[in-house]
Amino acid sequence: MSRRAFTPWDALVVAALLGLNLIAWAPGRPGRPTGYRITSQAGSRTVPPGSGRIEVPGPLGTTVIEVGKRSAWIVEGPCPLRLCVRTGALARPGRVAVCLPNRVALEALGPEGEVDAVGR
Amino acid sequence: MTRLARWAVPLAAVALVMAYASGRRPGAEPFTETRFLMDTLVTVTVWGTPEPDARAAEERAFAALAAVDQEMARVEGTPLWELNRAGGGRVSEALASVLADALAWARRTGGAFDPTVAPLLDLWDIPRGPHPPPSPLAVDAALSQVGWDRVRLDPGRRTVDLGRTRVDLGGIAKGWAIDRAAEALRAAGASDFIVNAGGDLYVAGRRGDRPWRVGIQHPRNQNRFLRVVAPMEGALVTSGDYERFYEWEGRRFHHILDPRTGRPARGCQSVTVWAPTAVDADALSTAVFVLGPEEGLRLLEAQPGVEGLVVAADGTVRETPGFARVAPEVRW
Repeated sequence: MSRRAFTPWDALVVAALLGLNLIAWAPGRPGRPTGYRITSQAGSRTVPPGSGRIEVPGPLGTTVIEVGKRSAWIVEGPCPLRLCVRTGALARPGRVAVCLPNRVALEALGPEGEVDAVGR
Repeated sequence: MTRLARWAVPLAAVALVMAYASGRRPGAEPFTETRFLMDTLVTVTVWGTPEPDARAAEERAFAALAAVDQEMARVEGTPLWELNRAGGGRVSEALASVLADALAWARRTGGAFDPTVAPLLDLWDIPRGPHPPPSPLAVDAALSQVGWDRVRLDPGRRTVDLGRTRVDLGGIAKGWAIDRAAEALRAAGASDFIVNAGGDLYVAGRRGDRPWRVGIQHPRNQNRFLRVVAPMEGALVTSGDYERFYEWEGRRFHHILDPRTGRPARGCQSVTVWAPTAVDADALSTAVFVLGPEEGLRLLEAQPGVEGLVVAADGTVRETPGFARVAPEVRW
């Protein structure tokens, strides 16, 4: 009786190894923030994706940030121009939304982001 | 078939995936510190230096930036505020140096860059918008107080006569501060770093085995980059009409004022300038924005060692012939 070169058990082992490698690779994928840095006059702190609604006090009042699983954005702010709200969702590492009057910044972080800095 | 041959294909597949995965995995992380300074968000990033040294270098850079802010911001109590209040006087070496640079660029740009626009900035008061734009009469009145050629600076004695004008160094002091921060980082032993003051950058060295990657913001789509570049060591400064603006009755009013008309400049959406120093790139990006694409690009091409990229008011993108050399586009 001839032995089969590649059995279903072999396929299972290979699939498991491939799966492990893909899991190991996933956090390094560019394009998805792995965290968000919130900077205010009180200093900086980093929060993970999915942190939900965060209220950040500043000199003019409270800036409200929503940190979702795939992106984060400034929902509300006391600034007159509301440019921070108009920035919209930050879904890529390196993107920044800033409320200068209220001294609050939201940055999307990633281990290997699209860019290291944004000229603007 | 031998046992080795039987496993050759799956083992090769796994090895390939591992090689790919390790290539995409992040390497060491740069050290980054972010603070609010100079009325903007400042980030200093240092690569390849042991953490305590990197942190110490960043502290020196922030100290250099804060020193400029405390002297040259146009807020009550600073030496610049006192100079404007008194109409002149003796100034520090740093303030004399920035004033000299500002007046030199005003001369070279035919007044497109003008440090005496303070009365116009106060009149338009863009950061407190939206509000109706000022009347033509009010603009003319403010314009009558503007004129860089009225300022007399004696660099030796460090004395200034403002000639009944008021000075705002917002279009140049940030660049000067970025240069001082870069000096401080180098003095502290860092050679691979980015100083980022509100999107105005000084880029030095590399990020490990690859160059630093910089995205140039698209002026009309916050979620897009105009292009991603790997700039040569030096400054990359952008002036845009999207950073501080409001809309009133369908018109955009932004903070880059034309010192010749007293109104927001209308020829460009954004201008990015590469220069060896941030002080030059800062002044030039403002001047080119004011001059518009045609005249602005001519000005850039007349400056040795300086390159630029202009997005005109209609969205067309133009650049100097050497921009792609100093800031080559990267695809990754």
